[in-house]
Amino acid sequence: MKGLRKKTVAGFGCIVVLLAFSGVVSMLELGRLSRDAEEIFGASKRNVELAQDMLDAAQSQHTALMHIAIFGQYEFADSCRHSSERLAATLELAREEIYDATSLDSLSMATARLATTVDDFMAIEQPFDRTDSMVRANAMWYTRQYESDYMELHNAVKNYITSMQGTLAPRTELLKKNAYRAVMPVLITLIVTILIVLMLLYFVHCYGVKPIAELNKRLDDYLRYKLPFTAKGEFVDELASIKEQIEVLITRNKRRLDE
Amino acid sequence: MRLSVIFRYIGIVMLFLALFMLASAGVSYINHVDTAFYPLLISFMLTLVLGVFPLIFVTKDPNATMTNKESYCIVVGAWLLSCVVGMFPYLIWGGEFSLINAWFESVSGFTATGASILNDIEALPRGLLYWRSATNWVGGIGVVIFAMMILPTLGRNKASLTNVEMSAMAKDNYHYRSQQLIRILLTTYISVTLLCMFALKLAGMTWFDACTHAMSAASTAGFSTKNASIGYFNSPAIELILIITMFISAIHYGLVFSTLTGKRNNIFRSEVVRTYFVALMASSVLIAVSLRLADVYPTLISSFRHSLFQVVSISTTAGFATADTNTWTPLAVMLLVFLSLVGACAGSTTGGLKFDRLILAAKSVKARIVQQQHPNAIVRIKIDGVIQRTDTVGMVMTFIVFYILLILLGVFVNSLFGLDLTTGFTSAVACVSNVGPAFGEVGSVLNYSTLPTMVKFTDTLLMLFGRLEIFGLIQIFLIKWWV
Repeated sequence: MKGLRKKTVAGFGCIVVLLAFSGVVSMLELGRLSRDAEEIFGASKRNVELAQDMLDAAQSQHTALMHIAIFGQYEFADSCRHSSERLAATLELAREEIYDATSLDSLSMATARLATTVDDFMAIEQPFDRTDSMVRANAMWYTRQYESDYMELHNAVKNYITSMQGTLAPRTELLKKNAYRAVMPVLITLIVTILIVLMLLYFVHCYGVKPIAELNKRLDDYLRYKLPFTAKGEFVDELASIKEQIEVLITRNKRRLDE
Repeated sequence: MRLSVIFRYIGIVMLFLALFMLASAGVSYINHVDTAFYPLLISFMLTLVLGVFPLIFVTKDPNATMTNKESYCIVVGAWLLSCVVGMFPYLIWGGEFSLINAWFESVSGFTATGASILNDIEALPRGLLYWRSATNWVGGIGVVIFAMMILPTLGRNKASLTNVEMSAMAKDNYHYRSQQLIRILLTTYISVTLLCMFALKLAGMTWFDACTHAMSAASTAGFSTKNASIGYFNSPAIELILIITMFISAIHYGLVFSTLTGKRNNIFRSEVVRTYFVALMASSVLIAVSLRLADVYPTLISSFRHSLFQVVSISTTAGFATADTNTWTPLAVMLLVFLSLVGACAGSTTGGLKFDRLILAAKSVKARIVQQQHPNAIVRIKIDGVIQRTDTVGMVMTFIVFYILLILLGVFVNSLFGLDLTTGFTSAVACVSNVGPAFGEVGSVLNYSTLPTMVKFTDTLLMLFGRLEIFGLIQIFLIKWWV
């Protein structure tokens, strides 16, 4: 490349490109970091929401069954069925959405077991006028069979919450790594930029400042003390041509004086 | 000293490295844009700017001659900056690469040492694995020699650069002009790499593994893509191919070229190669017998298979592993440490003292004894029938003394930071000789990750001293030399 203007523009262009590059990389990396953090927080929030839905459904089914089994209030049958469906639907939703579906296996099993127990109970035709022995049998079913299944489901939902929060830990660890990754390119780019600036400083001094100072000194020596004009150093591009032109001028001047 | 000229040539080396980074990014892209793609791309762009920048300001001057100091600064500067730039992909990628780990891996790659700080190499994306091997390959032959090939206008400056890059003994043997010398080096190097790659593919490796291992073997560096190194493949064919490649790469490249082109001055007539070959075979047999007697391996054949591979791998300073040498007999350990120290032949990609120097030192000792017996006799030291100059003998002796002092310094630092004597001594030898694996905590199936930060840093300095044949780097630290 020739010409001081071109070289200076290219030199500063490099620095601008590096700084812009550093900016773009930091924006991209920080954007990614923010997305990752958002994703983790979103997953945590969704996990709690789903668990709450499951617990609500199970609780409402539980209440309905209590009314049916203990008090013989069959108008709660629809509520019971609806809650059971809601529980199954939430479970399906969780299976579709979550990070690690294997953590849902025990919950699925507990839900299936409870559903079977409830379905079996609901399938038994209950007479309108219930005898005391029937009420006792229902109460027995409730305490011996249903309650344990319900508690199992309850525990499975709790496990689901804790295990899901547990899976967030490695993702948070990954986030930490991503933060490191986000900072590092910018840091390296800045170091390279500093190196380039130092080099530019050297080149400007070497090919700009030093030759101009030398020309100035030699010209001053020539004009003041009539010392021969012998500028030493590296003169490139326009400065080389200035030096040549000064030499031509001095030669012409000498010739004119001789004449 | 003209700094601008130094910047220009270092810039050219950076451009060359940027090309390899781009190739690694390409590998990453082919492998479904793995996680190393962006780190490699960013590193490529930064290295490219670093390389292009000095070229904008410093124009070439075909008539200017390069001084010795400038040549030294270009070589040492290029090597150091290559190591710094080589860290970029590792640092940006993250994982196990902290600042010191990235520096260690980069220096180990460019000095063709092959020591690693990685606990799980296989966790690395392919782009980064390729970059590791590329640093080995570039470092093996010398960053500067490579860069000069892409410099058609360097003219007579080539001579001063090669003087610094290669040991004086290696240059003595070539008898070629510098430009031709570089061509010979590169032709042989590329041919050996390609042949090894195709052979490894035929032996059952994937193209990727064949390529990376061929690069590591030709450069006698030893980076593998597997945690268990070559032991992972458990294939006698692969081991044999690597043994041949490492052995060829450990011989004077000029002699290999002469042999292939049918010249008289070939490997079969070389005293150094003969001695080296005999030493390798004798060590392999001795170790095999000791391993069999100690019942380390069930048969003599399996003992010989492992001992031959380890002997060639260690003596060529490659450092590939097929067995845990920590479990081997004391005789085997002693012989392997000795071979680490000596290395192979001058003019090859290997590190170490070199057999040429060892032979010359032994002949010098013999000459001294003869001289004492016959004070008036004129005793000449010859290698391959060529009389060696007194200053060459003196230089070799000085080099050996410096080499041992450097190892002792390494052992001192290692002990200072709590390393046991086996680990401290053998790791210092392995780093100065650019071997890589040593014994104790840094055995053939282990790595340098557990070492303290200061030890890792000292080890990288030892690697650089070893690669630049001590004097190349030592000049930089002498203030008087700068004036």
